[in-house]
Amino acid sequence: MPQDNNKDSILNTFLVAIGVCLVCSLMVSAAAIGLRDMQEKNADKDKKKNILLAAGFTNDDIGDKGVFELFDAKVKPIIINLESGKEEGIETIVASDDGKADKMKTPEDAIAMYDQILASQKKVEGLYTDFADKKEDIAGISRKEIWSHVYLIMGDDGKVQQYVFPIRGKGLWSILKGFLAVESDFQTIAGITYYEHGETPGLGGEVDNPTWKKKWIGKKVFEGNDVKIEVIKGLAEADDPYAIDGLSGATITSRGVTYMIEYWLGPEGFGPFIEQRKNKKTASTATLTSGEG
Amino acid sequence: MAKKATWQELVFDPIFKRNPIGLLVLGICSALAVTTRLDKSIVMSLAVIFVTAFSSAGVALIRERIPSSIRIIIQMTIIASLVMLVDQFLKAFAYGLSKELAVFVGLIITNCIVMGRAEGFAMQNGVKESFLDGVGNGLGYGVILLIVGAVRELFGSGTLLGMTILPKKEIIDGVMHGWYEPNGMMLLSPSAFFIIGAFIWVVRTFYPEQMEEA
Repeated sequence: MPQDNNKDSILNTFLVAIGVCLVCSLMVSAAAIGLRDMQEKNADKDKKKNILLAAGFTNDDIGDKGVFELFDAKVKPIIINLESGKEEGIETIVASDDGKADKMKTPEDAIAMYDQILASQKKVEGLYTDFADKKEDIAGISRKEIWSHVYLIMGDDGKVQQYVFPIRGKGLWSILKGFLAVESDFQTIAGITYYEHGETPGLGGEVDNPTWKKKWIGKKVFEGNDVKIEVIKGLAEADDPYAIDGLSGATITSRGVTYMIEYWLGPEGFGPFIEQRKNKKTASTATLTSGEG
Repeated sequence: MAKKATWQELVFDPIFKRNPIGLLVLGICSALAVTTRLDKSIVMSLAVIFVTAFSSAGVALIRERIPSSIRIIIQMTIIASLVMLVDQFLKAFAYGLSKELAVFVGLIITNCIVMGRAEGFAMQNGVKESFLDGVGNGLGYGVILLIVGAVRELFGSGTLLGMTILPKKEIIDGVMHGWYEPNGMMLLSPSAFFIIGAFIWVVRTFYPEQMEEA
């Protein structure tokens, strides 16, 4: 057949290769763009669901009410300056340009839409700093954002019951992103979840395992001012409040989890915020007991 | 080929008579990984059926023009694009499941069944036949996934599609509920080997011609 000869010609090889690539890439990019809004909404929903799960709400609670409704009813997100630990400087975030299509206009927008991971990864002007010393970067996140979300879980009495902190850090293959919920004593862990990671399923991926996550509840974080909680190798003693069972076959992921908690609850992370809140609390109890309140 | 296969043969033969997992033992890795729950198996099966069907049809459509020097790359490009398409759709419409299936959706690209049908069948046959052949082979893979998924979820967790079938033994407020002690091994990958082995045994009892010479 004459067609067979020209089929294998160099020209035809190029034409077919270019044609197939063109059609395929058009198809994939059309789907990616067309579905992006839905995917982003799903990701947002998933993140909020994980905040609720970290705070101890169950899938049943969420199923009854819906993620967004329960989140709006129970959770009060705030943005703090990690360095000072105070709720300040949100105007800088509002004024910044993180390259997203929908712009933030008010502090409320910023609280709803600010993406701290994007700010540090995409090097958004004015929202991140580099580590002065690489040794400080124990979580392996390369750059640190200046502002972070903190999610306050409100009780029916209007008091904060738990604080949910966004945490992230390097495991073996990927940056693990999750939430750590701490009771209002800033000492007892209320829960932990990971909503995104690329660790090996069955090994490091077991950070998703509900049985393992349950082991965190009730453990203690600090000894003095140091973060002491640790994922150890092997099984933890039942009465050791600072040790969590290691994930078998996932030494590096386990170590990554330890380091990221040490980082995020330490002085580079939420340490100043925790310090402030603790002082405020002791101050208010002091006034109450002295009868001046 | 002696005579032209009818569409019934194309679609239904790969399910039991020429099952890609049962007879050829292809595509085992994902069959082990995603079958801990039935819902995961269903979504994975649908994804594979979609990819095999449309990649075979796509390859058959341009088979007269594909230069033999780059035919494997062309097939891979078509398969990979379809897999990315599936991945995008899962992220939009079944976010939770897509997160659990994670890397295994992407790994459909390396599933030998897809590539095998594109190279082995679609390169020599028409668009319609290739499409049906793809659907059939995807179904053959899917049937095994569903069986393995159902067995593993039922005996591993006592549920089917998340609904409790065998009430799990547990103590709530000091009172004993349920009676079923879940078989933890069913949730681990090796159990899928046993179930696939049993499936192959049953199929070969009905189709003795599949048996290999000892």
